Amino acid sequence: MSRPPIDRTGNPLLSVEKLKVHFPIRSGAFGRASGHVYAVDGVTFDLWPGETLGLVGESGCGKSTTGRAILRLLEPTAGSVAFDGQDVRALDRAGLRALRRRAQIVFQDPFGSLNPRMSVGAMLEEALTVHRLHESNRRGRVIELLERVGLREEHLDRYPHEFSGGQRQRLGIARALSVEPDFLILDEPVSALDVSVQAQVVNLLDDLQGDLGLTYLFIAHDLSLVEHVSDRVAVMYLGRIVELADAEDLYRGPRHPYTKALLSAVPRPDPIGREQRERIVLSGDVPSPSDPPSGCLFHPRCPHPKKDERCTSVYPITEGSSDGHLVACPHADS
Amino acid sequence: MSKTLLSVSDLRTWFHTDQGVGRAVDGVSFEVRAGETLGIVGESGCGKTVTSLSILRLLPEPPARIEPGSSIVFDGEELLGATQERMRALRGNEISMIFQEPMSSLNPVYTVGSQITEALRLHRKMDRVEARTEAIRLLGEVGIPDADRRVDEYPHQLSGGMRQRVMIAIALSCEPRLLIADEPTTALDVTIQAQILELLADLRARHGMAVLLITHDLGVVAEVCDRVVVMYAGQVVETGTVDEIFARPVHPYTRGLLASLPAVERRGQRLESIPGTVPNSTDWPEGCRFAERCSEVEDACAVQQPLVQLGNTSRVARCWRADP
Repeated sequence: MSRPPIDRTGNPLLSVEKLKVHFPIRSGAFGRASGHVYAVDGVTFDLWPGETLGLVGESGCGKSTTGRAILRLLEPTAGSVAFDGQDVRALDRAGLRALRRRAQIVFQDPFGSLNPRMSVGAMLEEALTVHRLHESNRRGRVIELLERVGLREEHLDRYPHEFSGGQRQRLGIARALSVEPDFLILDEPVSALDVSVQAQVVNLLDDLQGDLGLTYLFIAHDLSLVEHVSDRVAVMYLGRIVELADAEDLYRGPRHPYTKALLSAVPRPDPIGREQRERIVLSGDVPSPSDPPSGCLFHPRCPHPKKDERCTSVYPITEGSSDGHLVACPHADS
Repeated sequence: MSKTLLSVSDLRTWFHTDQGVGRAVDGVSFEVRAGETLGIVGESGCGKTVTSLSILRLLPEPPARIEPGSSIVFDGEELLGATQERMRALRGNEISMIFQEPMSSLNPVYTVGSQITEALRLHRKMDRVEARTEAIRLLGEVGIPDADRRVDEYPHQLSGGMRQRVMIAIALSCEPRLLIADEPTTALDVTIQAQILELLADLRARHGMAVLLITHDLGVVAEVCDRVVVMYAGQVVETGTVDEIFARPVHPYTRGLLASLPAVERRGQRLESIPGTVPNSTDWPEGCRFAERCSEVEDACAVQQPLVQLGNTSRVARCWRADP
């Protein structure tokens, strides 16, 4: 979006380094771990105040797990997460509560993430009670929140089932905003919505970011949408970031073979250009994250002509060019 | 112009429930020509899926009822009023259908092979050995590697993309002349979606079948369709070739939909959005059903505009402002 450029000279708000989340696969009578699902396997990125980082990838690439591990909704296996200089992995209960006042999450499914038995007013007030905020005028604050996300006071006493999908997502956003966070993880916030309603919610998120100075981690599989909302974009494949760059650079000049294939596969609403467009159709499926391939995780599907033995044996180092475009492929075009 | 294979006219499929009458499909007309890909596009609740299920008469009646006056003609034969027996003979044989979620369309307790051979033995009267050989050939044709091993696997052993390929193999087993694909790639990742769309285009070219593609994704429509029907609130609002619809959309709803898509050229701008939400099918507004969300509304919109042909073209639109 057309926002002022992000100042990246100061300290990042969020710093994720070599983050890993491995899930044991338990089997047998004693529940011994017979293997692991390497859901997130060494993810590193920084996020500066006011910025939107898009995290894209196909299902199972670990993008949602990354989001949850940052807030410790899932315990990371290894690596470090620093929020505003504070080590998130070392926080105790009180520390976590304080963290979650500043860092919130909005989920994809507005149907599953709202309590069907709580009225909107009660739901929004609960967060204020837990965090002891606005004790003198909670109701006033709740009405202000509703108006902030485009709903009205008359919605206070209604229940989630009385709202449409788009309105429910607005409620999810209002709930996340109720504790006045600096940072929101948006996990597929509009994927369940129809396109005309999607646009309403995306515009709302944009307004909120501008007005409240929020920082976003925008997780989604819809590549065109991520391009639209992000300052920088990270592409994940099988638990790792394969490419990270300024949104415009990444979409204009993708360097990793996976990013190229992914972008070329996006159906474009442009029938005239469809004949000329070069499309890379990848063969096969994403391998299982419990049994990832050796070397570069993408090598079994990689169409790059210079693919060699190195690709099948060593995981490539992530290299950056001077403009901060990071890519994990020795054969990447520059 | 190739001949008309399927002609739907004034189709009204209503749901009679205790909460009232849901007019899910309310006077829909379009035709599918032999060998073409026609897309029906619209948002949830616009009636696109009910339209496709009505063609194959797959809706439970009651509560659904295809109202008198509706007509669905396939290759010269009126399907409304056809016997159950006749419909069974048509389904799979002449008209096949694939659905969004292959896992719930495949039977989890049978191998994929036995689900393909079932259709072959029933419709093409093959014996067990012939059917198995044909099943393996079909799995190979839809791009499943190691088809002779995969044929004995169960649906849960396959990935989402593979399952959709199996569904396509089953749908193709009797070489239908019309394939109805209802959101065939919605549950799939984008790289797998590209594979399946390519497969469908390839199979269509090879077998010369017509495809009726139901989708909410305008990108998919632009990639694979020849012509497009845009639906809103149980009605057709606009029809045209894919090039016309994307280059010169006439109906404000179509224009709104296209403008709400994020696009590279519009990076840095706000997305256009259509205010409000789709009305409820038990309570469609009088007059133009899009009026309350339309930015170009005028007095005439209180009266429903019929579908009109635009000038000298094959395009039709349902809007007073559409210039013929």
